Amino acid sequence: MSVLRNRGCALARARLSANLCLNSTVAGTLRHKSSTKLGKEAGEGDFAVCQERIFSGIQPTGIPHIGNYAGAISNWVRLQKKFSGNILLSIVDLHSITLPQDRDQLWQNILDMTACLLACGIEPEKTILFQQSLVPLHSELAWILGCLCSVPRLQRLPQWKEKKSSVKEPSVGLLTYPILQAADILLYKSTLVPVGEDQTQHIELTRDLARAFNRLHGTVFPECKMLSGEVPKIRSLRNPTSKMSKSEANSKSRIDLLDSPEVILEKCRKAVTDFTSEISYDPEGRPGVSNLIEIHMAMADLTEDEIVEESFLLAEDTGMYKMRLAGIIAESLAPVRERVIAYRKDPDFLTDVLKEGAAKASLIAEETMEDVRRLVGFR
Amino acid sequence: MTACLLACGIEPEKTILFQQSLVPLHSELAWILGCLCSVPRLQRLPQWKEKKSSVKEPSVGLLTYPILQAADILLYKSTLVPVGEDQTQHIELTRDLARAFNRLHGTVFPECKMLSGEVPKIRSLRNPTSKMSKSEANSKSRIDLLDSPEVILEKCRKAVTDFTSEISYDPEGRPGVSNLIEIHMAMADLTEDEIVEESFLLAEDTGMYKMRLAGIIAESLAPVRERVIAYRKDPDFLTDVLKEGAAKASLIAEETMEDVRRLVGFR
Repeated sequence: MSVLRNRGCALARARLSANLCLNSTVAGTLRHKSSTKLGKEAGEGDFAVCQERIFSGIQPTGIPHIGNYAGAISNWVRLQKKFSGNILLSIVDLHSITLPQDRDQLWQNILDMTACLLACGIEPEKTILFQQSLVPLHSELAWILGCLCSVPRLQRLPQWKEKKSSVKEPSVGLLTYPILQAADILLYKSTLVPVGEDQTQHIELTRDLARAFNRLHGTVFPECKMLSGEVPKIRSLRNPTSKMSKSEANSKSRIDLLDSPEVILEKCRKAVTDFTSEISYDPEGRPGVSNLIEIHMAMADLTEDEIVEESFLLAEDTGMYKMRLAGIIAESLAPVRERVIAYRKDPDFLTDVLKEGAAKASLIAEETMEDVRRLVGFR
Repeated sequence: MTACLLACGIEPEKTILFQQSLVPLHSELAWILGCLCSVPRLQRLPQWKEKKSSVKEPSVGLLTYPILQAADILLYKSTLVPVGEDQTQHIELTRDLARAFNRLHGTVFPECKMLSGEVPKIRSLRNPTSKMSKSEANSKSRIDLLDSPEVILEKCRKAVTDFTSEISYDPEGRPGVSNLIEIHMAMADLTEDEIVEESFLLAEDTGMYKMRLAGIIAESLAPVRERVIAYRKDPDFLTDVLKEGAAKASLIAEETMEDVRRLVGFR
């Protein structure tokens, strides 16, 4: 834990807090209400006014790599400090089955993701960490929202068009994925969603569905906004123009949280760089080397200038830098790795964490659904 | 609807009568089944093609309706579904989804079959070639359970028949009159032959038969109507019936979903 605080992503932290200050200013002008007025006559405009609440979903894809760690996960750990008690993180197993999954692998992935999130610093007392399928209200709200969403609207989303072409028979789940995503967000009356730019149209859809429901049935849902901060975008070690990704075929392209120091060394050695001897930060001209520097920045409390200067003073060439970096990465990840291994040995503890999180999530979800059901006419 | 079902003789001790939304597992199973169903499969269903043309912006709910229907059926491991012929393709879809799940994840769901019996098909009073339907614009086309004897008489008088004086059972040639005889058969314990004979012996013309039939319908519905009116005055009782039904349904549904979740990998 202390290692994370001392050495984790300091630069990114500084950038993020600048963004959060802006959001705080904006938030200050909003009226913070603990309850929302219902009914068509209430609220101003199309949305309810609610307290700030963050929702994030993460697919159970197994052990994350350092791109996830430096990016989304470290972001959540920081947000958890500021939004403690009002931040939800869901392992979205319902979403994961939109693509075929092996049963044992999926369950192991759910446990592994839980273990890693805890090991990386997610604290269940501050963040409601839960497994999506333990709260059946997600699919209930998704059904209701689906009745407000036209089929062509979904078919126009870029992610559907992409996925459609790469899968033989795209399933209904794949098409309606964004509706379940909207339900995830709206069930908790979330106002902020930390996601990447590629999710813009889905967040837009969520806002539109909220507006449609509020207009048709009564004001329940607040407006949700993307919370896009400056998070490090770690690239593939073998293909530095692409993001580091679990789906890239070559496993040497990414460093996983559980990689041993030997494996990390091997992967760093093989990382694509260029023919210039010394290191310098030049993302356009030297993507491979700059990526390594980005990784270094995420692992240590240094700027790119400090890193380049240090390397110069050590008279390193790229090869030597890579070896030193491997050691830095391994050292930085060592405590996380230890914790993951320890958590993995205690699946009962992990399922307890997920169940307790689901119980907390259900309290909020049930309150929202009581209003929704009454407004729709089910009660 | 709850009041009417109870008034018509549905007994909560024998039938688990419940409100779908009180059992959230329906939508949970629908999501899982949706991941096994291709979009083109749904788009090929005749009801989607129909509904699509009559609605301005067909919703996702309208498209995925048959999947929720499949979830309704499979959640309780149902084997028989009493529906009309128009539901054939939906029951087929349900069977296919059950088969797909069983093959991919493990055998949980049984085969469900349509239970199509000989049920009276009562037609519209004003348009006897169509089924009697709530969606028909002219309310005189149907007799509702709560219609008073006066209203029933009025609707019967206005029922479309033909120019032949006496009544006879001939669905092809005399749809209006035959429909009235079908209604009569449903209300009383008589065959069409008995009805035609009785009318002949009473030397009735169509007009007289319609008036007599109106009385028979009103008398037959009177106790049902009384009960509906009584139940409607007690919404708390009705919601209790639905809640208790949902509790019973949930026991079965939860058992099914425990197996489903484990087989999918959620537990």
